[in-house]
Amino acid sequence: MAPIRIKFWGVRGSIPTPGPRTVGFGGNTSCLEVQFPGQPLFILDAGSGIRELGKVLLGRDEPIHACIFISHFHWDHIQGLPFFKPAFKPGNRFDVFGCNEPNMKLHEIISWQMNPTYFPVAIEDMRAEVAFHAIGQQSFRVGEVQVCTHFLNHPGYTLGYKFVFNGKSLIYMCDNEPFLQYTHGHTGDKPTIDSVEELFESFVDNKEEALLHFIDQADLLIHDAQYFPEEYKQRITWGHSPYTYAVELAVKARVKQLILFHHDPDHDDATVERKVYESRQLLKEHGYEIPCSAAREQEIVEL
Amino acid sequence: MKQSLGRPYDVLIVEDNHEQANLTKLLLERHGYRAHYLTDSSRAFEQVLEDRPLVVILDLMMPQVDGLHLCQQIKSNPQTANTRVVIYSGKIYDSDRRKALQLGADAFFVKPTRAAQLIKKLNELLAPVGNGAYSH
Repeated sequence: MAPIRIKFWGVRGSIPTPGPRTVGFGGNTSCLEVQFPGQPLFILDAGSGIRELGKVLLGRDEPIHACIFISHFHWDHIQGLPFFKPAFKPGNRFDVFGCNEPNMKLHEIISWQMNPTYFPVAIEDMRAEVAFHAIGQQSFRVGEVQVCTHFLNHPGYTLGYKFVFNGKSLIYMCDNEPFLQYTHGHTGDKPTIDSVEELFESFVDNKEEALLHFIDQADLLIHDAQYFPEEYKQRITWGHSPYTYAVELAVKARVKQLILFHHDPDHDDATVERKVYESRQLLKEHGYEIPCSAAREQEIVEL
Repeated sequence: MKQSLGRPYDVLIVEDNHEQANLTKLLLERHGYRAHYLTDSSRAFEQVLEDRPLVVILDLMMPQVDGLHLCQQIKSNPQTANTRVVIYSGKIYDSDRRKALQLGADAFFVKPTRAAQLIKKLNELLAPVGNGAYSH
């Protein structure tokens, strides 16, 4: 069977960063194209990178059926959708997956950015068939692909995705922060505890265990690695990870390949290269030398 | 001592981590509350409607129904709108706190919090006014 083909169209976090200093890894915000053999096209997030993908898809003769999986609704993950030309072409079909907010449905959230105040073309002008599917933390199938989702540690509702096909698993966790930022003092040797109050205060609800179970032995983990550790210390609660956390998860979950994602807009190509170098060094120190690279626009990875 | 008014318990804890849920229950019981917990959030709203607890303590990130959706369900239903909602979550983001408060949550605590602070807030939320009614 043909391999799973993953192509990066946008790898940058927060805001598009065009220009010579980012031309190596690319300045478009999050968007991946994933082709499972014989299945509909999967698109992960709709950052500014989806525009270029749309231009390529328009060149195809046959109608397009694609599933668009939105991790969350921060601008850098949806801002390309109004510029995704295949959605305006009759005969195409798009299934959009993402969370409802408590007071706003998925289709309303997507439609809002095409409100006339923000954009001159309305979502109703999309002539393709567009269906919205509200999901939470769950598991379901799309064709022969098993899709599992898991809430991530990021402001608002943010989903990590696991796609399993033909025995291979791909994990996409674009925006995720370590869970235990403020609780390191509680995770060491516990003092002698003799009251319910102390037990309550020292208990760490470690959601990372569930996350590791979700990632377990994936063939490829694409994970937020926006910061260096020294930067992260200044940006705790911004919802992103230092590369050291991506490496830590990869090692603990015994994944087979790690791709660092969601590059900081202030990181030029040389800085991203340094992040990759340090990640590889760290993997080596752990005695777990798996392939590790930084996501790069236009690059294709096969599983 | 808290007032029960015939309900089976005072506080419902909705928390997918069994150990966390049980510890919270034990803590509340030690301070005079009758508490019950659910680890399956899909049954939580039904249980609130049926048992009418005075307070619901909600985790945010839960696999079945998340805490914000539950908060909205509770606060937007006339039958349960007066139920006090306390969020107790590991999520530390201000935007999540703001969203919860916009949806009507009465308090938001980040795990792990001081036991005394949680109990103090519960006591405030349930401070009786007049003949067994509770203040808003």
